[in-house]
Formats: sequence, structure tokens, C-alpha cells
Amino acid sequence: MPSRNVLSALAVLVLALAVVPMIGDKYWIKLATRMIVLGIFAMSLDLLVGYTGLVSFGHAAFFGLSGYVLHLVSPEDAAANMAWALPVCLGVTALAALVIGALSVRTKGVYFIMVTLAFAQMLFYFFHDSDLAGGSDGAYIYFKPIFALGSVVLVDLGGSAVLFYFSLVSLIVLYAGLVMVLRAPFGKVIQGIKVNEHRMQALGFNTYLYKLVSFVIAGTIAGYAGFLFASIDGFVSPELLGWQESGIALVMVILGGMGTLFGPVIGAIALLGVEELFRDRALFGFIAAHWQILMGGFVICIVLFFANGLGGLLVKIAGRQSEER
Amino acid sequence: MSAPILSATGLSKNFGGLNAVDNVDLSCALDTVHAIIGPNGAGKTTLINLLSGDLAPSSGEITYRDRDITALPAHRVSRLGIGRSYQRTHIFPEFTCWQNCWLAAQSREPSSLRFFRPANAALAVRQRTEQALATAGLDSRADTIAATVSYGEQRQLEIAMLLAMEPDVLLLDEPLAGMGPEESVQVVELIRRITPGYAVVLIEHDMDAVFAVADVLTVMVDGVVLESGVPEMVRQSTGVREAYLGVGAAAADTGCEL
Repeated sequence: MPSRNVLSALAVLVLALAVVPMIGDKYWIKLATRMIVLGIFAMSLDLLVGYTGLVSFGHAAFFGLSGYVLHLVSPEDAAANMAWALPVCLGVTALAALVIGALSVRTKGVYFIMVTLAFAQMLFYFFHDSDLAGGSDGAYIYFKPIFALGSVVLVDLGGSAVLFYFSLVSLIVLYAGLVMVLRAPFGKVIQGIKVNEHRMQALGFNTYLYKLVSFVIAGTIAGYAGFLFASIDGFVSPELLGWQESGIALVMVILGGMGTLFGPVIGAIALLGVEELFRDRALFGFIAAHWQILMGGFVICIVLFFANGLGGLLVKIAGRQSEER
Repeated sequence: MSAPILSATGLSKNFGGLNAVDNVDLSCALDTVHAIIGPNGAGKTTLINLLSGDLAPSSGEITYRDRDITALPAHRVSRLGIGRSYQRTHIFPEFTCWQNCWLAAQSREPSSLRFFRPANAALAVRQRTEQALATAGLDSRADTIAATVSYGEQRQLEIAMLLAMEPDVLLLDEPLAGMGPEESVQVVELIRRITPGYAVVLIEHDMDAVFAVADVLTVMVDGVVLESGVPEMVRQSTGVREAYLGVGAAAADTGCEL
């Protein structure tokens, strides 16, 4: 649980995001929505990397899979109702995480990285090479999901501001939920596994079970993020499941500071925000076309100078403020 | 002395051609400390590993409370009530002492798949945690990160974790290893204090400590039991003096490391 100062800083950040739809046009709303949704995705990966000690390099498998399931269950001429479409997306993702997790959680360290990567690439090529959903071209979701009771539409994710606020509320609820889980016995046990799995076994804990449950929770939340992400542009492509997407999630976690939950969200916001900045021709001239070079430098600087990432920096600043008081 | 709750008969363990433990009989009753001494390579730690289920014996039988536990794996043995500590410190260094003990206490619960209420809300587990810390004399260290307390306190924490698991047999593998004299005295005092209610099997090189706490003393050499009985009798045994303590040398009295 972060300190009161850190929570206040996070509240300010949420408020700053919350005003985007009031002052920005559709472009900025979409950008802010992507930040939040990728923040949820990175936060779910932090549960594995920062709290369970499982460095997954295939987390995008669940992110992309959920988007594809949304495409597959969405009618071509009408919106899917979230009341059943969301549970279906999450159920399929959780099942996939259970199967992949059951086989990969047995391995450790670099082997776990390889096995999760291999599973994600299998899913990537499945959607890339099959005609099921447009193959390598990807596929559209023509009508964004709605939440309807009978014929009354309560939430329509087709509205960009609606999708934005829905994502923001989801982020806050999921963050609070994960904080709760990490304070509960289950959370303490997985954190013990991260420090010394052998000792946990000697204490009598079935560490395989706890790691698997953590993997399924993280995969399901990644699926939730994938559901929202597919709703932003109404488009899914195999790249959503690829190793680059998994890698970007890891960069967000490390950039933001692993083992903090909120850090990876800040990492996602920073990564997208800085990309936007570096691509600005007015600011960076001809280099803007080669913004990846600047981005590489940015990530290296953060990792070199702030070992605990941007989240760690925030904790430090907030800590200093409280000392001064 | 009451009836033994843990006993081994004809216990042997071969590693290839080596008889690390050879036809050993051993028993331990509640409220007593059974110390095992012997030179390096005598098979003491192997014996503890057999009793704790970390190793399966080649032959022989282990009985705990009239139940044959010879073939049980370590985590089942631990759940029955036989706790062990390790020669090397085996704690979670980045957690507080309280959190270390809490994990040990929580390990006795049937399941930790609990996601909603905070970990410190379960009263029984919290009480076990705090009781164990208090018994080990670490209550003032509860909120200190385990890596930052002294080495002696880390060994005390290890014993506290053992107590939090509520065993009735304690297998202590060199609890004084690497300690200074003052810290040793503290831990010896701790072992003496907690013995009522437990059956303690103690492996130790520190002779002063052994003679201070042991009710029964077993001397092992090359995997076999050379002598076993009350400490005074063992000390007088000519066989032990010749084979182990050294002819004529009163090594036990000077407390030098053997």
C-alpha cells in the first residue's frame, strides 16, 4: 500500500487525465485512453514480474486473444452486449492462461521467459496464418461493444469519451482490487515465493498452485485490457499478440518501476506521452521521423539514473515532502 | 521421562558405497533435548534429513506418535508437527521479522487462496506469529527488516519461524553455527526455555552448549552410534573418550570445537 503522499500524487494524476475529454479533441481522448488501457495491461504484468517473480515474455498473448474473441463474438451489423461479450472474452483468456500457465509455471528463470514467449508466438501465428479473423491483415469490430439491459443501452463504448471514462474507472477499480489481493494472505504468499521459492516449499506451501493462480489472474486482467484496447480503434491484428507487444509491456513495467502496481501505469503513460513528444516535428525537426532513437535514449536514461523507475522516483519525492513537513 | 514421540529404528542411508547413516536407533520424548554430537562427516545432518523427510532412508523405520512416517515427503512430515531448522540461515531477508514469522504461521492453514481480507486480519495466525516472536525474544524486532538484524537474531528468527509452525518436535541443525559467545549464550538460553512442551533433537558442535541443555546425548562416528545415554555417562565412557574426545584430553571441558 503506497503512502498517503503517493496516493495524493496518484489522485492528481487521475484528475489530470479525467479532464482530457473536456479540453481535448478526439485524437487526445484516444491517446489518453490508450495510455490507461496499456497501463492496465502493464499493471497486470507487474503482478507476475514484480510480485510473483515470474518474468513473462508472452503476456500479450492474453491481451491480443481477448481482442480477437471480441471480434469473433461481435455481430457484423450490431454491437455486442458487454453483459455477455465481456465474460466470454475474460473466460477464454482465463482458460488460455490456465493452460499456458499450467505448462510454463513449472519452469524457472530464463526457461520461463522462453516458454511463455513460445506460447505467445504460437497464438500469434495461429491468428496470422489462419483465415479465422482476417489473417495477417487483421479484422474490424464494426460496432463497439455496448452495455444494454433489454433494449436500454446504458453504456456505449462507441463514444470516445464514454470509452475513456469506462477505462479510467476500470483502472482505478482494478488497482484497488490488486492492492487488496496483495495485502491478503494470497498476496503475501506470492511475494514470499518471489523472494525464496525453495523456502516457501520448505514451509509447506504448494508454490506451483500459487504461481499458477497468479498467472491466471494476471492473464485475465490482460484480457480485460485487450477487450478495451480492441474497442478503441475497433480493429485487431496479429501484432497485438506478438513478442513486440509483450516486450513493450515489460518496458512499461521496468520504466515505471516493478513491484509497485501504479509504477507500470505511469510507465505506460510516460512511454506513450514521450513518443508523442518525440514525434512532434515542430519540436524535433527531422529527428522526429526517427523518434525511436530518442525513445531508446529516454528509456536508457530512466533505467540508468532511476533504478526503481518513474514510480520509484515518485515515491522518493513524496517521501522527501513528508520529511520536510 | 515420558514415552518417545519420535523414534527411529535401524535407520540407514547409503550414498553409493558410503553408509552415511548406518543402523541408527534414536528416540526423543517431549520436554527433553536429545543432542547428537560427532566429528564432521559422522552423518548427523543426514540423520536430521532422514527424520525430516528431506531424504528417504535406505532402510529402517521412523515412527511419530505411533504412526509410520518413513515414506512421507518433507512437506507432509512438516505438517504433522516435525519442524526443522537449517545449518545455513534460511529467512526472507527483505521482509520484516513479523512478516517472516507470519509466513511460517500461515503455512499451517489449510489454504492461502484468500484474496479479500488483509493478511493480518486472521486472528489465529496473528496470535501464533506474535507468540512465536515473543518466545524467541524478538518482539522488539517485529517491524525490523530481517536482513538488518544481527546474525544471532537472524538465527533466533529462524527458531521463531519454527515455533510459529506449531510443531512438537524441533530438529535443530547447528543453531549456534557462526555465532559469537554472547549470542550463543542467548540461543542456548532460548533452547532451554522452549524445551518444555517440545521434543528437541539438537545437532551442535559447541560442547558447552550441548552439556548445558542436553538431557540425552548420542555420539555418532562414521554413521554409527558410538554411545547414547545421559550426558554424564557418555562423558565418562572410555569408548567415546578414545574414539572421539581424544585419549586423556578433556576436550569437552575446555569447550573447544571438535
